[in-house]
Amino acid sequence: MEAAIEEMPELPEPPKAYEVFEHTADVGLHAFGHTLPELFVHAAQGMESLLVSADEVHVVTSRRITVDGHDTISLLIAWLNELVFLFDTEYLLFRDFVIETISETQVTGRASGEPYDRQRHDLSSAIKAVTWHEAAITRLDDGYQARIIFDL
Amino acid sequence: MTDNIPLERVDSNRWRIPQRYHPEMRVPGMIYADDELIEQIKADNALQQVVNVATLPGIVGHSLAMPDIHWGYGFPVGGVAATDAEKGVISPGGIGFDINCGVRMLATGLMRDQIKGQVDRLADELFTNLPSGVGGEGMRKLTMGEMHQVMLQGSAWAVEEGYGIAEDLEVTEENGCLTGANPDAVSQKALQRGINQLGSLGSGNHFCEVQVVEHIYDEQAAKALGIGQKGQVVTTIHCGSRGFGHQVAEDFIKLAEAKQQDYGFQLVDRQLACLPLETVEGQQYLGAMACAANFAWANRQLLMHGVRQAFSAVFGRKARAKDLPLVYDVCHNIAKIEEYEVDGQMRRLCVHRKGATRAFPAGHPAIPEQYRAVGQPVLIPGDMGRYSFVLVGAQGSMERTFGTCCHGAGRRQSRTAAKKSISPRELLDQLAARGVTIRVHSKNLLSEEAPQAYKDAQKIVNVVHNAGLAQLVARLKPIIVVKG
Repeated sequence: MEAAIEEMPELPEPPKAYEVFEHTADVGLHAFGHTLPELFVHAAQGMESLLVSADEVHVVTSRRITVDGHDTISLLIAWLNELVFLFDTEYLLFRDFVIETISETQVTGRASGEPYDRQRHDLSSAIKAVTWHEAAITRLDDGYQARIIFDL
Repeated sequence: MTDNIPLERVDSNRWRIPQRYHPEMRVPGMIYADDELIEQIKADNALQQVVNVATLPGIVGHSLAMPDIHWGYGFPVGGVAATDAEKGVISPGGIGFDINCGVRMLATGLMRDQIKGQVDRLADELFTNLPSGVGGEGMRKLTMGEMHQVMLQGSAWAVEEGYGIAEDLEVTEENGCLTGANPDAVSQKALQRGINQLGSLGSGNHFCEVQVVEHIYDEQAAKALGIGQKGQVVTTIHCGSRGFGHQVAEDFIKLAEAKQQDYGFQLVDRQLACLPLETVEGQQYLGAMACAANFAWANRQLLMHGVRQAFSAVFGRKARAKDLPLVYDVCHNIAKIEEYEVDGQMRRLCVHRKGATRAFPAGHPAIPEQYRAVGQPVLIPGDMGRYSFVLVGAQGSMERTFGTCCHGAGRRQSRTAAKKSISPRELLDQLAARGVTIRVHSKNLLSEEAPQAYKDAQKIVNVVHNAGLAQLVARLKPIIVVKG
């Protein structure tokens, strides 16, 4: 059954890394990438941008992240959820991301940033979780587009 | 956005989506709304989600929607679905990420006039006592051993530790402890998120509000609930299981999603991924969900203790714990195994309430004795500028909605739209003009929760009242709002 979702936007010119879209209670993200690693990096940047602007985040520490999934979308959700977990347990905000390896069922990468500082960081959202609602990765002519909705 | 979905008017408060609308629907949809609310509901994808929920294996009766429904993820927020407890499924997404998000209200013996000169001081005390905001740690850091006890005992653990009094347990849904909690089904990651967060409000739409009884609809019921005086001060807490519950939900949605093929399910939305209740995984989710529900009750118990301390710091002897009795505590994101008559037969059902409140009528054995003659208290927060409501469950809920009614006002505007429509400064001025004192960590986040972002809660509760699901008891006006 087709869910009544909005039309997928054309890949914007010049190509954007990500764009945020609205949802009644929550917020969604379209991320774009020429390759899967680039898609994962852009999705992570997009999600962190919902918390705080990237220029407010300094790189003082990093975390190596390995997550498993049963397909590409589950990998992407697990990758983003790991960032939510690191914020919830270590209060880490991230700015830079590198994907080291990616397979059908596992992704390993590195996220760099710093702990949240109430004095300096003006948070604009708090993310509870990455949802599976209408979650999708679509092949485009020149890469990939992901659609993800967050629970705020 | 959902104009293509057929709606048949049943009566002035109900709309049906016929099962024939889509071949995969196993039951019809039923939406509780009046003419005005149904138009607002049509504005987003909530009705499509009512249809999607109707495709769940083993769903019984109707895919139900309360008048406050709006577009959620998987289930609409305000969605209710009952599945057969033996042959049906449980959908972790149908409970949501914030397992046992809920509301509790405590009464005070104070009247508005008595606190007039102390409002700012009380607001400061509450803001200091209740850890809130993003990245805030809870009132109590737990050892793993203590975490284990919280998962098993819920509110009772908190009371044993000195956060509250024994009477609090009697007026908490399930006495603050869902049976069947299974800590072995909880991941290490969930535990890591939980141990630092007990006794914290978090952010988003969670809050602590000091309110005044502004209008009484039903004097007998209001008196029974201990909120029988106009001008009486009460306090409401809205919060859930924090990161602990979010992680439990995430773990099991991922597990369910990976196993859909094994079970032979092909669901229309992956967020609906479900587990047959008779499988090991289904039972494990129930056990883990109970752990998170118990964590949430302990969390609200600690927060209430913080509220009592704040009142006591400001008002001294007039505000000891027994002078600030808990009226009731309800959960609005949960699944429960309950019995209902369906087509003349009693059946055990798994009732999913995603942004919906249990509303048992007078006489139900699950209601505390002191309220059994009037019905289970139902606490409905509105928005921080206008009002909130207290109702009691009514007979219609047992006959039509698996003992359920609405949970709040329901969002009307997206968070982004709300932020664009009003600046934090304007909003603070507006609230001050309405006599609401605010303490908030992030002014940025405050605009997301602006009153105009929500539907008018009065219209929501009127529908559940007129539909016979619950009866109006009192309307409360906010005077202090504490948020993350």
